Order: sequence, then structure tokens, then C-alpha cells
Amino acid sequence: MVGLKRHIRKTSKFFLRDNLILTAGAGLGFCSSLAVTNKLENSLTMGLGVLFVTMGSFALVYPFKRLISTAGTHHKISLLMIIVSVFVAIFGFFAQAFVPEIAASIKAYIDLITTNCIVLAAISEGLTVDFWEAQKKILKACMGYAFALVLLAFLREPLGFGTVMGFSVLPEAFPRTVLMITPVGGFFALAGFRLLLRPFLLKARIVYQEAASCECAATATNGSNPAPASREKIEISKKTLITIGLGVCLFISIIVHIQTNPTLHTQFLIFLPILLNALFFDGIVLSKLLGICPLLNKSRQIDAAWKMGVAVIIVTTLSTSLNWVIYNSVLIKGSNLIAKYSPLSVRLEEIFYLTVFIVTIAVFVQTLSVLLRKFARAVYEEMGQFLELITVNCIVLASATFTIPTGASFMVSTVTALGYGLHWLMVVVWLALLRRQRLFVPTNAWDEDTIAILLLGVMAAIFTGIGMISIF
Amino acid sequence: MLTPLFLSAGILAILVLALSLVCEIVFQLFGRGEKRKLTIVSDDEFKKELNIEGGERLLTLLQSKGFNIPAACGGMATCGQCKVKLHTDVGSYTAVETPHFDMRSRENTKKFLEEGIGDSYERLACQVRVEKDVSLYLPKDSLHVKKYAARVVKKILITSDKMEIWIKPAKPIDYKPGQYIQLMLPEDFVEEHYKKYESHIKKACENLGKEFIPYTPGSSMYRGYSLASYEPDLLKLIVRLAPVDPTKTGDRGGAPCIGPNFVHHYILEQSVWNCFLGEKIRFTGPYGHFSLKKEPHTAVFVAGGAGLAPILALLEQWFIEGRKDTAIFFLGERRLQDIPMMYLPKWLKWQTMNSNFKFVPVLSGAFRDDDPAILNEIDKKCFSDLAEEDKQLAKKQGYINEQEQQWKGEKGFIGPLLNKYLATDPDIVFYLCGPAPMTVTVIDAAANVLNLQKDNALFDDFTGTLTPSVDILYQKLELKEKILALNIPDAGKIIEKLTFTLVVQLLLRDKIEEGYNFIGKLRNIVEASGQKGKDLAALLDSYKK
Repeated sequence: MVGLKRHIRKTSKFFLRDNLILTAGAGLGFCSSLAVTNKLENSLTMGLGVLFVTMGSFALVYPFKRLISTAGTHHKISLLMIIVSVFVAIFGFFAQAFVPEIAASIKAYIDLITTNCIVLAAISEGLTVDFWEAQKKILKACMGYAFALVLLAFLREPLGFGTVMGFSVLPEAFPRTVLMITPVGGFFALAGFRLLLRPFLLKARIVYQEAASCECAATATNGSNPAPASREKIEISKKTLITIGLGVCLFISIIVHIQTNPTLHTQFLIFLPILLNALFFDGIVLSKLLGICPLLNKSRQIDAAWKMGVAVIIVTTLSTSLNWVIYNSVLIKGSNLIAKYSPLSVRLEEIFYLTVFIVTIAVFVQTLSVLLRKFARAVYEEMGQFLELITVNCIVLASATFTIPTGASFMVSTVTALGYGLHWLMVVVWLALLRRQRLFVPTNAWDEDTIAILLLGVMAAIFTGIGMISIF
Repeated sequence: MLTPLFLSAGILAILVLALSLVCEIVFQLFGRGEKRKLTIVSDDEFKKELNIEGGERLLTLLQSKGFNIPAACGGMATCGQCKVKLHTDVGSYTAVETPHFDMRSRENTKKFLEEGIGDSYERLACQVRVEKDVSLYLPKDSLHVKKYAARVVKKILITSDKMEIWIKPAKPIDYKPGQYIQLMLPEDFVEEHYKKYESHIKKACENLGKEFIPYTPGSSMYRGYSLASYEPDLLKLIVRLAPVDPTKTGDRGGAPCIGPNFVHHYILEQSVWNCFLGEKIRFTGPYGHFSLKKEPHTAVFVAGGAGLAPILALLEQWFIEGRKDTAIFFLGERRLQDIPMMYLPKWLKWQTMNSNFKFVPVLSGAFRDDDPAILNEIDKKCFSDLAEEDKQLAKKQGYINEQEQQWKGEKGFIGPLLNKYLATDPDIVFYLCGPAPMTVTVIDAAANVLNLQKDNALFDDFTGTLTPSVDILYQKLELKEKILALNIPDAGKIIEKLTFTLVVQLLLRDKIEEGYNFIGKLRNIVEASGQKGKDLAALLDSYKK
């Protein structure tokens, strides 16, 4: 009897203790969990995908443990990413073959398993312990993730569509909450789950109540409050005022007189809507629901938020343009070359785009940080760590996969990527400002994250509203 | 057919290789760091020095060297799990790190970095770049210490407060008698215990003057237990079930301040997580250098309480190897009921068979003015459970009187008895294991009376305070000679008082620092000129409170 009780406790702990989405102090893997959970079948596919990719690529990586650990950081990530992305591609094809409708609706997010925070972390942590123990850990992380996804879908699908796995469960007369199946609903559902489950889990002693220390109060009293401090320091001199004024005038005159230059004018007419679209109406955080884990974490401090945002802008813009070049000049040309020599058409860009994108990004960021460290020490001290933090990040990969394979031109992809970067910066700084205000007086870091998710939900709702207005 | 496959593979390979080549070239040209040294220290005197290349992040370095540092986010400063304790100053938190540390650790860090107080501070390993020689502390879980699995096969209550636990390891382990293992207490149990008894533990910590460490999830706890057995495939541990009163001093060993009756609950309590028969437990080890010396010597075994375990193993070894030297076994207990009756016949038989072996049980009484000579009901019951033959043996050897009413053996403490049984002998070796007060006083007495050399007093230092205590005692011994040479009136009495102050007020309360201060002051008085007698009296007075 004692044994049975013990096993139940152990099993529930296995799924719920340190569950990265539902209970862990610092959450990971939010992006896909918000985006795909509007249907149970999507959730199941996604959970299975993460499990398959992580375990499979770990099994492949493990024999080369020695090689990877001696290769140095700059090769380690590329090597791991190649293997992971190949597995993601394999899973993508399987999904397309067996569940084509689901695969079509969540294709983008299946691609982004590559940069799912859980995958790479679980693998590189697993390399330090022995094989089966590591697989156990991976199983725990991925099953927890899948479990959270299924829970979320159980809330969202019946409320939104009135169905579970396509079978209708609610009576026709029951009102359908469309909010629940929109991206915005994801935030509310997740925050709701985290808030509702918490007392229950605490009662069942599955999670442990952390010491009630108010993180934000600590930050405020600690003097590490850089934003107001720096605001006091800045004294705007007359010169700066005049320069800013002149700059604004110049900008306005360019915009007004841009019509005089017909080529520029057409360019402007094309790119401004694209930029605005990426920046406000179809933002990467608030409507595509990506890049949320670093957003939640880095928004705890305003200066961290600013620097991280700038780093994101630089990396997304530059790496996307680099990726466009490689995609168009190597992959497409290579495929054409192959097509010349054989009747069987192998389109490299359709199979291997993920691998190439992620490797390019990894190499680019590594190289950039090495160069910065050597030649611009001051810049590196300020920004370098943030650059490296986004080597493997869904925002960067997404700004490539969302634009380039659709056949967009160089300028369009770059401008979109810039827009995505700006959007991320904007959201992270706003969130940081809001969290600084301590709206709800949270008791610990855990609750604070939940509140931040709620705030994001509110922001997403507002932006959806703005998106409804047609300007152009 | 195969052409496109080869071609595509070729194109991809060239692309990826070219990219890595770019990365490698840039790294070789600009990114190479200088040679640095990484020192890793841990519990159980673990120390390792690694030669590394500077400029890398600490987390990747440690992970590539095979240390298991948890990092759920993979070094993105998101999860905050990769905290390490650094002994070297490598700069304060970066902006992304600050939210992961609470007020207390922030203050610690500030103190360490700005004022140099404390010996270490915490940072996230993923945000530290190794630019100089770094020394850090890693918890035991992250090292690759081999863990053994074992099952509990038997639990026997050998006295009212001692229990023998038999565990069967999955594979036979290789150990020397006298060594100890570290039993891993399951995390679930630790957590449960903390939930129930947090206030008790806090109180106990305050009483002991230790810092209270709240439960942190994800850490397992280890407790040291000496092996009482000789066989490689069946291990016996003796566990003392500490009194339930939390204000009493704690068990020996283990993590500081986990609460005294911790193990008691683990073994006895009717909780879901306790150590029941058939339970799978894990342990690391074996550790320790507490083993019999090879060359012939006169051995004195001193055991008390749960310290019986390694002594049992050593005695076993002594007789299995058939050593013929003189051996005396002092067993210090409170009353007859505390002597494990299970082992008594064996010891008595050894004594009858070997004229060189002497078994001296010494009873001290359970509390002040308690006379252990008069057996109470429990004592009598314990004794009457013995077989008739063994009872006769005990009576014949003069431990119990004929009516089974009275204890005829030694009473009091072991220290004063030493010169009754032993003569000064350079080949004498003491093997001690038991409560700290007993160990310290016996070593003190032996050093005074028998001229015991410091190297010949062997003990296992579970709490980390015994080794310095013994060091202090020997320093005091040196000074004693000097004081005697000074021709101060009543020198003997003063020395007695000094010893009392030192042992009872300082060493037995784990005040090692103050002990060293005391010795320092004493040395100053002895070596300086002036009114030595008065100065000594003043020193004694200052410690009277």
C-alpha cells in the first residue's frame, strides 16, 4: 500500500515537478506550447516531435561525446544543431506523410523544434552523464513538456471549438469562446493554468513553496535600478537639442520629398508596409508567439532588456540577410545543378534549409562574438554576452524560415527581419517597464512570471485590435 | 540514380565545412585564450586541477570536462540552475544574472567582492568567462563519484537506541575494515522532513550556533556511516537513533544542521519515504584511512555509542588475521542496556581464548548521580535475554555479580582508567571512534599519561572538528612542559584548570577558532617575561563566564 502511494507520488512528481512550462521557477519552451495548443491533435504531434527529436539526436550524438567536447564551443553548437535539424526534418516528413492536415497547420512550429529551448539544453546536459541516465532526464523534460501541452489543449480546444480530438463534447448551445483558439488565448490559458494548478500542486506537495522573497522589491531597493539613475544623468545640452531637431526635420523632408525620386519612392511604398507589418500587426512575439522564454527572463531588468533587444535586432537582421544569400546562391543553384545531371529532382532547399539556416546563424554569431572580443572589447563587455545568448534562439531562426523559403526578395526578408527585431525590442522593453511597476505585488519569482505572461496576453490582445484597423 | 544524392551530399558537406572553416580560422586568429588553471574542490577532500584555455565560458568548460552541472536552458541565463561557488573574484553579476539571486546571496556577494568577507560567492556558470586562474567549489552531485545501489535486507534493534542495518550491494564492493560510506538520503525524504520539522531544525541550529540552511530542491543529502562488517557483499551499519528532543546535540557527520533526529525518522518513522526493508538505497564510498596498522603494535580500541561500528570491523580483522599482540578494547556506554548484548558473547569468548585481549566495558551512567552499578529493570531484562552459557561467562569474568543485580565492571570515564590497564609504550596505537567529547578526552589523557604520539591516535573525523581539536591538544601539551619548567607554585592545578577550560568550554563546543586563540594567548604568556602566575590566572578568569 505504501509502495503504491509512493509510486503515484513519484509518477506525478516526474511529470509535474520542475515541469518547465507549468511549475518550474524559470520557464522554458513557452513559444510552441502557446502556438500549437489550440487543438489536442496538434499538441500531441508537437509533444511527440520534441520527444523524438531530442531522444533520437541524443542517441546519435552520444557516441561522439569525446569529439564534441574537445571541438570547442564554436563547433559544438554547429555540430549539435546539424544533427538536431536533420532529425527535425525527418520528423517533418513523417508528419507530412501520416498526418498531413496537422502537419500543414503547424509546419512552422515543427521547424522551430530545432531551436526549442528544451532540445539543445537537454542534449548538452545529457552529455555529462551516462547514456541511460541522460535518456531518463530527456524523457522527463520532454514528457513534462508534452504533458503541459496536452493539458493546455484540453482547456483551449473544448472552449474554443467545442471538441476534443475532433469529437464534439460540448452541446451546440454552449457558447464558443473564440478568444481561446486565437494566439492571445494561449497566454491567458497558460497563465490561468499556472495560477490555478499552483495551489493544488502545493497542497499535494508535488511542488515546493520557494522562500517568499520578493525579487522585484529586492531589485528596487538594491540600488541596481539603472534606468532612473541614468535618466538623471542625461542633461540635454543645447547642441543635442539642435541636432535632434535638425535630424527630425531632415527625416520629415526626406519622407515628404521622397516622391521626387521615383525609384526610392517605389521602394518606400513597398517596404514601409512590410516593416510596419512586422513591427506591429504581425509581430513575432504577440501574434506568432515566438521568443517568449528569453522575453520573460530578460524583462526582469530594464538594462538587460535594452541590450538584449539591440542584440536581437543586430543578429536577426544580419543573419537573415546572410541566410538569404546562402539559400539563394548555394542551395537553389545547387539544386538546379543537380537537376541538370539527373532526371530525379532533389530540391536541396526544401529538405535541408533548416540545417543550413541554423548552421549559418551559429557560425555567424560565434564569429561575431570572437571578433568583438578581440577588436572591440568595450562593446563586447556591454553586449557580448547577449549576442551569445541568442545563438540558438527561435526569433532568429524564425525570421529566416518565415521569410526566405517563401521566395521573398533580399530586401523584403531583411526588412521583415529588422521589423521582427524591433518588435521584440519594443515588447521586451515595455514588459520590463510594466514589471518594474509591480502592478500585482507578486510574492515570488514564480508568480511574477505568471503575471508577466498575463501582461503579455493583454498586450497581444491590444495589438490584435490594432491589427484590425486597415491603414494601407 | 545515385548522382543527385552524391551531388547534394557533396554540396551540403562543402557548405557546412566552409562555414566551419571560417569559424575555425577566425577563432584561431583572434579567439585563442591563454593557458589558465581551473581548481575544483569539493567535499571529502576532493581536489582537481585542470589546465584549460582561457576565454571560454565556465559552464561549457565544466561540462566538457565531464562535470554534471545542471542547466535546463543550455547556458542562456534563463533557468538559473548553473550556480557555482567561486573562491576567486571574477567580477560581479552581469545584468541577466541578477534576477536569479535572492537578497541574501546578493549581500554575500557584495561582502565578498567589496570587503573580502567570506570565502566564496555564487555566480551563474554560464555567464562567467574564465580569464584568470579560477578556484571553485562544486557540490558532490556534480562530480562523477561512483554511486552504488544496495537493498536493505535486515534491520535489527541491537539496543534501545542503536540499530544494525544490513544492506546488500548489487555488486560486491572492495573496502578495508574501518572505512565508511556515505549514504544518500532520498530527496523526497529530505523535503518531507524539512516540511514537518522546519521549526525544530531552525531551533536546533540556533542552539548549536550554526547557520540555518533552508531546504533547496534538487539536492540530495549524504550521511557518513562506518561499516561494521568484513564481507564485501553484505554491509552492516550501526545507526544510533538520536533522542527525539531536538535541543540535544546532533548525530555525527553529514550536512550541517539538518536536524538531529533526521536519521532516526528516516529509519523508523511510518512515513511514505522511510527506509523500509527491501528499499533500494544508494551510497558512495568507501572513504577514510581508519584501518589497522600493518606492523605489530599494541592496540587500544576505544568505542562509544554508534562509533562501535568501525571498531567492530577492526576487531574482526584483528582476530581473523590472528594477531598475537596485546589488544585492549574499551567500550564506553551509559548503562548495561546500552551495550549491544548481541555482540557480548563474542567479545567474552575472545577474551577467554586470547590471553592478550582484554575487553573493558566502562559505564558512565545516563545522567549525573546515576549509578550504573545498580542495574535497573531494563538492564536486568537485557541481561536475562542472554543465553545461560554467556551469562555464566559474564559472571565468571567479573562484570556482573551472581545475583544479576550489580555491575562489577569499570565505572566512570575511560580517560582515568588508561594507566590502570596500560604502561607507557612507544608502539601503542589508539583506534578511537565515538562521540566527540569521549574522543577528545581520551586522546588528552593518553597523551598525558602514556605519551601517545600524535600519529598513533587514529580516528575518523566526520565533523571536521576533531583533527584541529587534537592539534590544539598537542600544542597545549608542549606548553604544559614549559609551564612546569617555570617553577610557578601550584602549576599542576593551573594546568588542570587550563585543560578543563580548553576542552570543556571550547573544543567540545566546536569553538575551534577560539581554541587556537586560547593557545596563542597561553603561548604569549609563557614566552613573554613578567608575572606569569598572575597572567595565567587572569587568562583563566577571562574564560570563566
